Amino acid sequence: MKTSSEEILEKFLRYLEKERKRVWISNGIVEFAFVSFASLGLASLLAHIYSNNIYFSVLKVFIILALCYGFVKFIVSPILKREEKAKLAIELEKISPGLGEDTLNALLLLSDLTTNDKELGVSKFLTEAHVNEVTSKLESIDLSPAIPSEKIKTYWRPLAAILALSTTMLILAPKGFQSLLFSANVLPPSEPNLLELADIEVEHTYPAYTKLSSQVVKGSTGDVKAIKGTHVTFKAIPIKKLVKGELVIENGLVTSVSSDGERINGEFTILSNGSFFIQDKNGEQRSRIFKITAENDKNPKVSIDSPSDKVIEIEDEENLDILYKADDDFGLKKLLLTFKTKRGESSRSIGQIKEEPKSLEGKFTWDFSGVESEPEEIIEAMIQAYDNDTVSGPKVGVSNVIKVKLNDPRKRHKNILVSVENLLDQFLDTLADEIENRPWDNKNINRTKVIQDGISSKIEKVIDTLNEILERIKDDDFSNYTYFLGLSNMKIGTEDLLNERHDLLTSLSLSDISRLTGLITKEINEFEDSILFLDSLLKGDKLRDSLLYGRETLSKYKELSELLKNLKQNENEETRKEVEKKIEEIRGLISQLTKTLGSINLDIPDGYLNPDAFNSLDLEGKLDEIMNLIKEGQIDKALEMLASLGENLQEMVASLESGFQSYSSASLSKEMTELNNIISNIEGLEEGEKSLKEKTEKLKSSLLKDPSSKGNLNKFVEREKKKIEMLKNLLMETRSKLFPNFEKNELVEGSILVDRILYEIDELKHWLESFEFNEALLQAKDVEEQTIGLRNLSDLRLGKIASASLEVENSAELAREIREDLEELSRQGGKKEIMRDLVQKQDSIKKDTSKLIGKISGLSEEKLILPPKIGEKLLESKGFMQGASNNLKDIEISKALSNQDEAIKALKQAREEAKGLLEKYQLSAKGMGIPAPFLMGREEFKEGIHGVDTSYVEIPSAEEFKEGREFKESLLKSLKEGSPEGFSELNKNYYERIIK
Amino acid sequence: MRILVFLMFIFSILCLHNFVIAVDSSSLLVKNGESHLDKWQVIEASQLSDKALELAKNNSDKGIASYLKSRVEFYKGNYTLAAKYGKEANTLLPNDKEISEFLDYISKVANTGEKFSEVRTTHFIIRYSHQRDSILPVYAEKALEKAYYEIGKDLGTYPGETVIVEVFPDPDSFAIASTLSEKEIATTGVVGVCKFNRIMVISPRLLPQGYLWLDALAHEYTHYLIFRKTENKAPVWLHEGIAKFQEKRWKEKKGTFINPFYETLIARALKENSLVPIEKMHPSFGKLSSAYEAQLAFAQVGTIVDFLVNKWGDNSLLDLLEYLRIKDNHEAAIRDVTGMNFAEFYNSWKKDLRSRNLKERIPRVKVSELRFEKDGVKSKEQSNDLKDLESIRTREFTRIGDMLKSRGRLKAAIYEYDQASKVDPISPIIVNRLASTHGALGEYSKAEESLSNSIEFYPEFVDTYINLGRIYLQKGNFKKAEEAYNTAISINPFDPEIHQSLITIYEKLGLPDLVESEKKVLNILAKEE
Repeated sequence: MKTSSEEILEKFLRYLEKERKRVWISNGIVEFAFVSFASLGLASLLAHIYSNNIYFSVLKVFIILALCYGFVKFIVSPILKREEKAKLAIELEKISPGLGEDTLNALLLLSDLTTNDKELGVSKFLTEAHVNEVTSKLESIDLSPAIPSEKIKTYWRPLAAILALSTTMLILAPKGFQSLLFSANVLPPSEPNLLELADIEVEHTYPAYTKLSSQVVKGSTGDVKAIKGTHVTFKAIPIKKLVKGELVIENGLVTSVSSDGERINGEFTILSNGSFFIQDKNGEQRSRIFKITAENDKNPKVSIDSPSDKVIEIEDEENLDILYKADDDFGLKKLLLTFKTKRGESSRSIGQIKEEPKSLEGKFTWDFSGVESEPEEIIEAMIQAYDNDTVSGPKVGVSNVIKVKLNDPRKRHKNILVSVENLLDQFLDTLADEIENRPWDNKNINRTKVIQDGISSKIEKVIDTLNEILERIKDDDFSNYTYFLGLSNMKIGTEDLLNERHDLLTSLSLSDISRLTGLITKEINEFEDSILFLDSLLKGDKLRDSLLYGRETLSKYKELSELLKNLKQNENEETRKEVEKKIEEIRGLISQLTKTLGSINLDIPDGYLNPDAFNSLDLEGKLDEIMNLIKEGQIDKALEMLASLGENLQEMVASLESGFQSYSSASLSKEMTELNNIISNIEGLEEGEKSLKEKTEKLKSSLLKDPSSKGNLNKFVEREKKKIEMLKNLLMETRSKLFPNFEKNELVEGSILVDRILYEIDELKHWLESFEFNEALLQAKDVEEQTIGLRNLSDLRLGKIASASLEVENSAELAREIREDLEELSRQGGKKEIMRDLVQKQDSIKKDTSKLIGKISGLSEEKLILPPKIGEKLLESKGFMQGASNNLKDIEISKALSNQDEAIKALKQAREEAKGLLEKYQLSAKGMGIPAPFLMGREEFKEGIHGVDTSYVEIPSAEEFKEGREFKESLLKSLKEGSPEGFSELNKNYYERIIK
Repeated sequence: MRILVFLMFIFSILCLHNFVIAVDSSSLLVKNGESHLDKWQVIEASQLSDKALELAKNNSDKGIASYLKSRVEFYKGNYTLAAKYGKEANTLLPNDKEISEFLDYISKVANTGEKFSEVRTTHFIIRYSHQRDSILPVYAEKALEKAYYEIGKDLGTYPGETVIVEVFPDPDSFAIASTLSEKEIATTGVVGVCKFNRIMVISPRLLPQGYLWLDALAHEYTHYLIFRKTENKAPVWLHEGIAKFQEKRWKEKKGTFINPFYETLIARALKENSLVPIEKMHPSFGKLSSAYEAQLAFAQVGTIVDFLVNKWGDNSLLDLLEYLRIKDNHEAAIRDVTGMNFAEFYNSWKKDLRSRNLKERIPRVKVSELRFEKDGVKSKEQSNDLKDLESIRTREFTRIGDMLKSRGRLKAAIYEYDQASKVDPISPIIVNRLASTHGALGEYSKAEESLSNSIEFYPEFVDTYINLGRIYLQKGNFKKAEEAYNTAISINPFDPEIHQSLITIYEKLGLPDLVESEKKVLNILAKEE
């Protein structure tokens, strides 16, 4: 255990050691500071000797070495230094002689005492006493001389001076040195010296397409930020003179910098992110690096607002309206509708965009002609908007996708034909049931009823199928209205029979068997006709299909020929592929054609192309050979073979066309002949009527210019008009006497009569001016009668009328005179003589018109149908002719002329109607649809101008080959109303004609 | 020296003489050869042509000798050799139009001729080129060999050489070989000719219903015999009359020539006084203006020969041919045989016809032009033959009947066919449809009756025999069925049903050889189907 003396001794010694070390470190720091400041000041001073990076680097190394030395020497060393007891004893010895030795001995003794008691040669007590003594001495003396003096206290002034000096030197040192000194680099940088620039000014000239005006930024940092393609003009004042400068862009592009002695000017175009600087051409000075930030033009935004349905179904020849919006930051250049089919990607330009607007909104009508897609294929379409960026190229924005499905009208038509075939089967089944279950000897009425009810159900199903077909056929562009009419008629006929059947079967008894038998016979006949019509319809359709396929094949063949010629001249893989594609297309068409031809029952006279013979042409085999020749590079031989194939195709199409024409015209030939005759007859009537009208006009003119021997008509009219004026004046006077206060307009006795006479006088004057003497006479009689009535009133002295008795009397006399004059004129037989010839001619034309009308109605008995409008117009014409004839007889020339004119118009309309129909027949015979004249409605077709049914359904022109739904619906509606009396037979006959 | 000169002179004279003789001989031989060839004495002509060619080796007659040789080879049916000698003649005599035309002709004929395959029978070489036509020799052999004996006996001639029979595969090649135009063939219905020492017929495969092709072979063979017998001196009308009269002799005993069809034609012609004048029949029936006129002409000449044989006996025909050969004048020959001048004979024939009280048994009889199936492909469509029905209404009823029948509504189909039959009661098209539908319903008697009646009016309508065969087969009457099917073969042997049925029949009858034969035929047809 230690004694207190021992502890005090150790404490004294530790204190001494600690204090001494502190002072050493403190002094080291001061020394290090001296060294550091001195070296830094020295180096800064020396830096002025050379302005060279290497030199600066050497100086920096010097400073670093000096600092390192000072740090190790003056700081690290005192910290690591450990003081020995002996040295401490020496320092104590210096303060008090002997003390150092005593202290050392005390420490030794204490050490021995602690480590080995048994072997200690000195007693413990003595040892402790010695220690106590030493301790006491140490306590009693001033130990501070043993601690070194602190230098900071001594040298703080020089230290401050050197600090100030070195700092000044450093501040004044060259910038290059400064930058190197404070940079992390030890070795000198490769860059030249910094070129100081002041008063930087940057001008941005934006690309033309942005339509933005230039912008100048004064006092700029020199960093630039603008859209790509912006032209930058960089201006600044260099601190040091820059004789030949250049502007260097990060990518190495260098442009010269001009200088006006004070201000430098450099230019460049922003193309991408990066940086630039200015330097002298020697590379000795360089400005700081300025940042370039290239902003990008944004992609346009485009969207399709409508349609938005998932898949839009497009019918044949239907267009799709697409509503779109597009905008861009600087301007839109182009919009494209792009669509993808299995055959590839295509696009359509969406109009012309002018003035590159920033936003656009519009409607594009997509016409699907030329868009080829596979059945049921969904086409994806979108709009691509291109902006006007001419720097980095147009940016493209893509809209949302719309999906479109093109409905194949041919397929739809085929489906209808499948239904028609089904209908044919149903009819055949029903017909067979009817035939096989005729109730000739069937006395079992219940069994008969059951059987017949079964047949009724089948007929109902037939009607259902017919309804379904009729509904679907409305939207079928390939079904012409002959189909529609035939089927509609069929439906009406079948429904009528079914109604009759229902009536009969509701209360069927044995006595009804003969009626039932009659009905069944009727049904058999009707169903036979229906079957034949359907059979003919299917056959005709297939024939037309074959013709279409044939024509398409021929057209593709021509394209193939051209491609092969191209291939011969310029053989390349692309053309070869096109050739192969075309051959495949032709192969497909031939296959379809073969299939269609094979399904036609060619029982029509004037033989058509035999499908088996067609097969024997081996068109597909020839295509294979052509393909092989092309593969072998024998293009000439392939062309030869193709020419032979072409001949076969042309022959085949000609045969099909001829077949189709004879098929189509077979039932129409008689109609065409008759129509030609009718047109010719109407033309004759027209000519006759025109000639008659001319004669009537001449007559009228001659009557006006060349008065008859018994007086000049003009003079007569003028004379009578004067009389009428006198009469009018008399009546006006009468009126004024009757109505002294005209304004009051009170009802006075006779006033109404006077007004009426005045009105009739005007009429009379009109008839006279029109040379309508008969009418004038009638009118004159009326006027006279009225004046007499007025006179009677006057005679009775009723009311105020008596005051005008004289005027009334004179009026009656004058009216009588006018009437007598007109009667005298009408008695002049000479004028009737003049008219006789014209009347005869008019009657003759009328008779011919009647004959023609009779002929047209007679044609219905021959099962030929002509549109009723021809008949109507002829009847109209006949009515007008009759009127003209009467007028002529009555010397009513203006009326006669008017009637003649109307008759001519009606004849012309009849002729045009007939010609229009003839054209349709002719077009039909050429395979452009079969026309169907028809009359609808239940109005009776009466003789005369009135009573003609006007619900005639216009037949579409040849151009309107594909009938619209509306037309078909109106037709069906009319058919539902039934046919007019007498025309139901015509309809039936027409129907039979179609079958044949 | 003088002697030497004299000898040389003599030698020269002899050489020149020999040369002149050679020239004279070769041209004479050619002339003689041509004369033989014109009488179809080909063996003689061939010998002479060989000699002429040998003699004319080095002289100017080589051209005509080669031409003769070419013709001889052509008459022998050697197309390659004929072409070779023809070319040689043409080279030697390039300006000879006849040779050029002949060369052109044989070149065209050789296109088909060189493709011929042939079957040799005892007296005939039967050639064909279309694979399906390879079944024809099977049946032609029997008919021709029968005709060889029967008609040979009637006409008193049996040719020593084998007779060439060529079956042409299409109308074009037949037109070229026969030297008739396609229009003439179609208009007058010429299906065979006997020309250039051979019989040429068109394949029955090419006509929708076929034709009586075995009768036609016998008909043409008769022409061949008349050529040989009269040394080509018989006039066309007599040629055709005798051929018509004899054409069925391969299968029938002598009998009445006239049938309802000819009776109708003649009755109408007599009534309307529209017989075809004998003069109009020259130079060929193929040149007559219509099929109707051609058939009427056949009816006339056939009945003339019938009249001759009936009135003056079987030998009259032999005598007539002999007189024709001797006198080369048909009027003189007629006079010699009948004791009447030609006008008297002709009037006597007409009187005989009138006395028979002939009737127009087939109402609205119509003779159609030949209608070939293009490239020999027969349509499979059931209703395809409706175009042959004249009345629209008949066509309509029949079409509905067909539709009902194809849907298994047989009774209803019969109703519709009956409706059609009311309009056209003897139409073989309708009769056959009715009969086959009755047959399908098991009403064999009705079917058999209507079909048997139809044969009288339309003996060439193959469907009638096929339907009859079916009915007999159903009834188990194999002999009658065989007969019906064999008749069908004689019209159109290309229907596999016929052969299939015959196989069944022969199996039932225990005739294994015939079964095998029919199987072979069926295989050929099946391959070509």
